[in-house]
Amino acid sequence: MERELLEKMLKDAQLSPEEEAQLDALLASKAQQTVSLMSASAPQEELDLDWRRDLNLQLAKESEKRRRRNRFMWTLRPAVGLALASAMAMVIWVRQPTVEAGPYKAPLEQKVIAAHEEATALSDLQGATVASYHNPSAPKQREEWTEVDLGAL
Amino acid sequence: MDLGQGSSDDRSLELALIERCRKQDDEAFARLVDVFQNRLFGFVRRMVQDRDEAMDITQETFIRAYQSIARFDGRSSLRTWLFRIAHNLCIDRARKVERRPTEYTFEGMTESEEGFDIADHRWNPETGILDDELRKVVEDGIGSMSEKLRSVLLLHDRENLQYEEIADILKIPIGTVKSRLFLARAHLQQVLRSYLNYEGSVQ
Repeated sequence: MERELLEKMLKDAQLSPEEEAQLDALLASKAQQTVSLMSASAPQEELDLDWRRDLNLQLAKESEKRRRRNRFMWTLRPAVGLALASAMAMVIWVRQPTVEAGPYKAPLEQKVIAAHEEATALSDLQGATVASYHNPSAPKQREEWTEVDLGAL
Repeated sequence: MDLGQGSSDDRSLELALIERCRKQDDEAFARLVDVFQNRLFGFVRRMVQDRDEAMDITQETFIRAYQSIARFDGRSSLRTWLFRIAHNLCIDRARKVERRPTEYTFEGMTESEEGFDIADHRWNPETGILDDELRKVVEDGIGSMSEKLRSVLLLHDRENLQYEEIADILKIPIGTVKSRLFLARAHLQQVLRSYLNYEGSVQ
């Protein structure tokens, strides 16, 4: 065998296809096959029943642990679902947009009532013939007497 | 059913057993233990030497398998998977225990790798029977090599696993599996040669 190949094997280095073919031939050699048969011929030791009983006990413990975990997951899953749904509902409720009543701060009903009360108060003060509504932007009435007015007198 | 041999005929039975185990069928898992317990123990026993420790590691292998069988995808065979778990546990343990394997220089290998023969009453190659003394020498020889050589030798020569399976278990290239197998056998040859030379000089 070439020293280079041996050194490569000792270093776990990658072999070329030629070297691997050479190694295959070496593995099939009589000396290697004899050792292979000898190492395979040592009798099989067997495990006893005590070992198996111990293993069964440990596996039973593991099985119980797994069952408990599964049960926990069964109860945990709906609880987590419920909590998530509640959180979602809260978020939606909190972030719901408020309805604006318009440029006024007070609600419309209060404005209507206030306008009505004001009109009633004016009516009480001025009498039923006086218009309760005073429009400052309306054209001012002329205050001088005209000839028509004097004629009417 | 002989799932341990890994033949293609058993593949569907193996997959059915895995499926039952995944569904937490404890009886199916007990069947899996029946099939593999002695083979795994034989491997672990030679990896860690101490019998009690080997029993614990074999037990731990099955417990780990039980815990994770739901995640086993079935791409590799059951035996490859189980041997991988067992091997990893052995390596973890070897890291904790400082052990110095006997290093051979393989000096003689470059001159003559042939010419190794045991032609006496202690070894019958036809029947594969070793006498007690020679068997002990072989066992000691296996025990004295490094973990990386030993694992390949045991998986190939004792467990009859293919190069591909061993590469999968040990996560190394196939070429490295072959190199290590050759070196492991060469190591054992040197141990046996030393023993036989000593025997010859005594007689």
